[in-house]
Amino acid sequence: MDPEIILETQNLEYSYHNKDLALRDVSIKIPKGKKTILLGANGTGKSTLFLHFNGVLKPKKGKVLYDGKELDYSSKGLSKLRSKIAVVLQNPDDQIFSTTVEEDVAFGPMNLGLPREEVEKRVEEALFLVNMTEYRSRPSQQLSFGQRKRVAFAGALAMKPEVLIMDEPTAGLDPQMTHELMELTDELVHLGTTVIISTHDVAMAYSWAEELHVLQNGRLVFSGNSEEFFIDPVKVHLAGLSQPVLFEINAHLESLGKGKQDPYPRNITQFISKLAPSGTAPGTLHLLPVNGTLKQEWIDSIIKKCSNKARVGISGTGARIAASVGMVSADYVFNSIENCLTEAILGYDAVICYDECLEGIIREKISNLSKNFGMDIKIVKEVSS
Amino acid sequence: MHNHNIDEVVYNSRMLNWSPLGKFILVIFLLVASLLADSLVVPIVVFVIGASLLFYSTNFKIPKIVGLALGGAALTIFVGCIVILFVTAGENMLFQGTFLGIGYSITDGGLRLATLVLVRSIAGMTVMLSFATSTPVPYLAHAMRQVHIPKELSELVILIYRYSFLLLEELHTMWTAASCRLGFHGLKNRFRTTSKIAVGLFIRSIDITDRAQIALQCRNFNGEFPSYRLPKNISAVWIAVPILSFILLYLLNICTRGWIIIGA
Repeated sequence: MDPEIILETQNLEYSYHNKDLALRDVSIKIPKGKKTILLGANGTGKSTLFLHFNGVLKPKKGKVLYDGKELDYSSKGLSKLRSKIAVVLQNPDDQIFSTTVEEDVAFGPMNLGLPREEVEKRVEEALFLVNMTEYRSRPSQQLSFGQRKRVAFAGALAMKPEVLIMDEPTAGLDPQMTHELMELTDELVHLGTTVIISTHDVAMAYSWAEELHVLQNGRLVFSGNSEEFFIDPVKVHLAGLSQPVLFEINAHLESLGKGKQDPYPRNITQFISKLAPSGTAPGTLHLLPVNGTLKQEWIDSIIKKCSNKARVGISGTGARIAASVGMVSADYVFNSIENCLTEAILGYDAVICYDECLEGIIREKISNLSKNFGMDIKIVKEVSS
Repeated sequence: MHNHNIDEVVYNSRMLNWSPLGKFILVIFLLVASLLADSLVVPIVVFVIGASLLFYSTNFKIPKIVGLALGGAALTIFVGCIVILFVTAGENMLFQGTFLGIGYSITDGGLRLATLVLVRSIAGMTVMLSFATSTPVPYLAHAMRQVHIPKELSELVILIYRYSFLLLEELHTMWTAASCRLGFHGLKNRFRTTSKIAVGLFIRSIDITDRAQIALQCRNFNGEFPSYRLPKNISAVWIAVPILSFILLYLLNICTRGWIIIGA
């Protein structure tokens, strides 16, 4: 069954100030609730395409459809559309107008004319998700780049969009923030939001995307899954990109006679799973859901039950805050799900403390390892006490 | 971060939560009272009020930027007063002489006016600075909306305020980059680099405008910046205090007329 399409363009063409065409005959379909990446070198029209999705730019030719209906460019129609499609621009300074953090996060919801209580709730939730609650009264110009990026992201989250579009979201971010952001987008997708990311970071695109679209000189040259695109080095080169390192290593291993390329590992955990003997992983993964509080003694009591020195990972904003308040020592505070799974495959037990809403994602990853790489992970669900 | 000093002062002010419109009315009444008075005592009292408010607002720590603003303005006023002193006619000549072949004289009227202007200006400056160091621009914009100043103006104030910091950051980055490439080596270079930075900054500001417009559209901007955290509203006290102060200062002016006689 074909997936439901939420956004679509048909033969889209656009040019800036009568110059060369920035978009040429672009027909793209964005499926609902999927992780979509728009990949392309600099200046290939990714941002221009984004701005068509929420009606900021109007096509010179062709049309844009949202939920099967052509966009309504009247001010009422655009207002309705933008309440459903939020955009996070590459440079946070472009989109932060208000002088304090909370004012800026509230900007979008207040423009929607939502009741005060609802705005308060959304601001609270969005700031919590990006871990900026304690900075809520800070003037925005006193924030670091990473903090501004978080605020920009919170501003989009507060709109509770059906579609979240992010332009180069990881540009200029440190690894921790990058992982936190990707973790958060995973969570949003899990909860039903369609997330579209524009990037030229091939590694990120390869590991994250469920659906990949590639732009080259304003033309859509590829739509499909990542492997189908990256397997053709000429196509990749012509698009001004390169193959992801993991993809290349996997291909070279095949050349060395160390197995076939398929299944394609998209991250280290999957790669290790592929290399390890298939069957049940020697380590056990202990799942400890966190609901506001986390104590070192709870983790210690789980570690005591483990046969070896178990590693501890924290996943999710709520769990991270609880861990910080409870002064919990952890081995992994970001990218923890992947790291704990890797530890289990390598023979160590691991305890992952996570926000309850992330459980579905963890189980999905485990099931994916089993299905595609023949690696079963034993899991034990623990109770917070 | 040095660009943000004044902003930090404002957000840490002990008068931050006072009604901005109330403060604004008080400042206007004090300024008018000081300007209307012909007794020197009134501007001196206004200066004492302004200085007290300023010290209270900044928690008795005058930040460098406020000190610089005060010093710079005081110097300009002082020079202006010197000019007034020499060019104003009066009934009695107090002093007469020549300097570098140019004749000059000081009259009682000149001295009186120069002193009055000096004291009034410094008093006005302290009063206005007490307002400026305790009222964030968004609050000021809110006060502007309350007194029905067209919303386009108040929105412009907010946008200019926000983007001025970004441009200051740009300026700082460009300045550092130019220094790294010996842009300020020698006087001629210094002038050339400074002018290039000014041009660059202007072009950047146009670029920022374009991007800001897109971002505002993306976030459903409908021509008005909504206020999330509203400042304190004006209360009856804030009407009474300025009026009362004005009346007291007016009475003080009548009572103290002739107390300080300059150039008699």
